[in-house]
Amino acid sequence: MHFDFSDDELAFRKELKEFLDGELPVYFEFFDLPPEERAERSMAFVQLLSERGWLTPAWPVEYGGSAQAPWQQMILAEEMVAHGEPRTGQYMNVNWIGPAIILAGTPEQKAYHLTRISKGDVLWCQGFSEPDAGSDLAALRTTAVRDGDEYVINGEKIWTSNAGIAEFCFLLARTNAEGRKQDGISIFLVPVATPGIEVGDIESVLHPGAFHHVLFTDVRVPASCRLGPENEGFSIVRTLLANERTGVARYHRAAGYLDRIATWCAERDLLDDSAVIETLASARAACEAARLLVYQVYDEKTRGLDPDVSAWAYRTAAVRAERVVNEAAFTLMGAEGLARHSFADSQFEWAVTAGVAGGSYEMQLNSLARVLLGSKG
Amino acid sequence: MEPNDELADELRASTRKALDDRMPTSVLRGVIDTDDRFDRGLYALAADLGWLGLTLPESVGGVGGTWHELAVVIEELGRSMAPLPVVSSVVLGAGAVLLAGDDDQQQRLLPDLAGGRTIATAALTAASGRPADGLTARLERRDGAVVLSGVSGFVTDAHLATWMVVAAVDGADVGLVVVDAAAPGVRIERLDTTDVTRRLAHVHFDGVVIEAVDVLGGGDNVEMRRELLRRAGVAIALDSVGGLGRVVETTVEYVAEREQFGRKVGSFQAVKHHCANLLILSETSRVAARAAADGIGGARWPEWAAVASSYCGDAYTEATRIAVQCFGGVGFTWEYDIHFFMKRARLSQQLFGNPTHHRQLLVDELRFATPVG
Repeated sequence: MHFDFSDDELAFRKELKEFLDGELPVYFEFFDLPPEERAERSMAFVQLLSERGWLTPAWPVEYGGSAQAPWQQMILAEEMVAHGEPRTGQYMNVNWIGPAIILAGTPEQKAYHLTRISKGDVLWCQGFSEPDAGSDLAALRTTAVRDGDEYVINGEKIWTSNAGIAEFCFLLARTNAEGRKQDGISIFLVPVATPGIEVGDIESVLHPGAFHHVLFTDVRVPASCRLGPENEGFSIVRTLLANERTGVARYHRAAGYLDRIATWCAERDLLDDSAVIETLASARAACEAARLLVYQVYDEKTRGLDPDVSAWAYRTAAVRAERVVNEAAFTLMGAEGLARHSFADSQFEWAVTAGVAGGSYEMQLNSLARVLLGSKG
Repeated sequence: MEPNDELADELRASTRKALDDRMPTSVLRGVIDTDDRFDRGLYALAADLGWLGLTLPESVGGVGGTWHELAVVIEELGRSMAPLPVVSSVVLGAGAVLLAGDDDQQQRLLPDLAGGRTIATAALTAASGRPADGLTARLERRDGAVVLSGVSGFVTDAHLATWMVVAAVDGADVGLVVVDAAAPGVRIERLDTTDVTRRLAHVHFDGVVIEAVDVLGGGDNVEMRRELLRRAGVAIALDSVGGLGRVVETTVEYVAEREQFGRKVGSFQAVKHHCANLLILSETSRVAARAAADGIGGARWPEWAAVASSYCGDAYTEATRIAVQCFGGVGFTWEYDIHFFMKRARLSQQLFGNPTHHRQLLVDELRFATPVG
């Protein structure tokens, strides 16, 4: 298996890195910024990316992309996360919200939303999870009831990252209570400023503004906000989220943190210690295992194969890499790694959510088991 | 084998009741938001209930009990996460004076401590907080006076202490001295840590003059410091046992209520396995820590202390990780309590030597005890 990069790809990575180092000084504190400032800086930065054609390179040309191979998007994902993900929520616009609109949008939806996303002047949030629909997403209860040319939306969403600063919400709501629960869900592209939408913070161990709950009370939206056919939203989302399993290059950020831990050890002359070497080396191996799995996914995609198994295996490997680097930080740095806002503390936050956010580790194992066992499982 | 078990049971019930009444997490959440993270009224109650004098002799105002009873109180404190400087005062401060002080020093310092009128701690490690690292506080003789300079790292409850015992380099030896926290030249640098249920500090000493009456030890000070760290490690292990018990209870309660896919999530095999693993970690920690506490001073005490400290540190961390996984997203929200335990476990794993350090001590003990050849 050859995962060597071409000269063009290496040149692209170098150019991108130089640009990022110039624009973004030390960036792993990015999430410590107050939410409004984070949004402002992210918007300004993403517009710079757009001007250089680096925001939506994999999109078709007609929608503001340049139809580049998936590899370039992967390089972008790695370098962005290594710099604290300065796109914040806008990585979602690029990775799957835009592609969902490309897949199922009306000409008007495409013209309006894809133009804005590719120019980098809009923030989105995703309204999926609910208090009683976490792993079991299809059990969601938020309703959208047709009333003439409008839908009336009622319900509650939870874990909504960036809801406090987003302009649009990619919302899943139930439009049919009969039949299979997966078959009664539709997608709505809802402006967050619509009357009846209330956004609240969820305080957590993560940075302020990381999570929100969003209440919908008699929220009226025009029927033209619906994306795709009524009751077919779940299958659209399922197709698009298969991409999202590999969307965030968590292993690359973890490997970057591991480099910082190694530097910390080197400064203390600890690199001759065999236990230190073992800890650093096994953590590095975990990061590289995840990296190779995601490269395999991209390779399979490029060759037109279905990367289902690789993608699930990658997800579990990425969670393990996050956790192992977290353990290495605390094992090697000791109590000094527990200082608030240190990079070990920051890695701790990532590792804590790694096996839960975007689907729990156990659900990932179940998905793998389902692939292995099929109907026998 | 089990000394005073009836007394221990009574003590556990009364301690748990007092802490449930006075320091439920709803109250704890307010206390940890303050700079001191301390409930003075509850500390006075701790003195009234005799927790502070449990292991002190009657001659200095204690009740002359053993670590069997002290272990109960420490476990319960770990269960409630109550930010009370009991381990700092009793195990570290009083422990040091009992171990290394003479009668006069004990009479001068311990009655007020047992009565809750003073708070003490001990600064036993270098700036890094690691027991194996060379001490970064030192004693010097200047014009006949003993002077303390340098820094001690990650000292528990230093911001509350009236006095502290400091371990410092003293020529080729280790010196143990009592330092008044308000003395000129002492600066307490409070730390902000991932764990929000405790308060640690770096303590800086800038030419602090030590009176002759405040010099402890005189015997094998290196071994005395080692013994204090050993006891501190076992105290943290007991605290972890208390925390583990509550982590198991609250996690099992949650998975027995939460439903997904129309079933209790506790009915899924993966979650059942998590619960089983939690129980294994909790029960193993309990027996290891209690064996150590009851074995203090006995033939196998250093070995059992090393086993308890290394096992419980990892077990508490692993258990809280599993527990948060069982809770899912709400597990890391501020609203639920489980993240407090997770972060407390992380600091406990590092305080007074991490599990790797204790495993090294264990290897040293075993090598020492096993005849060569």
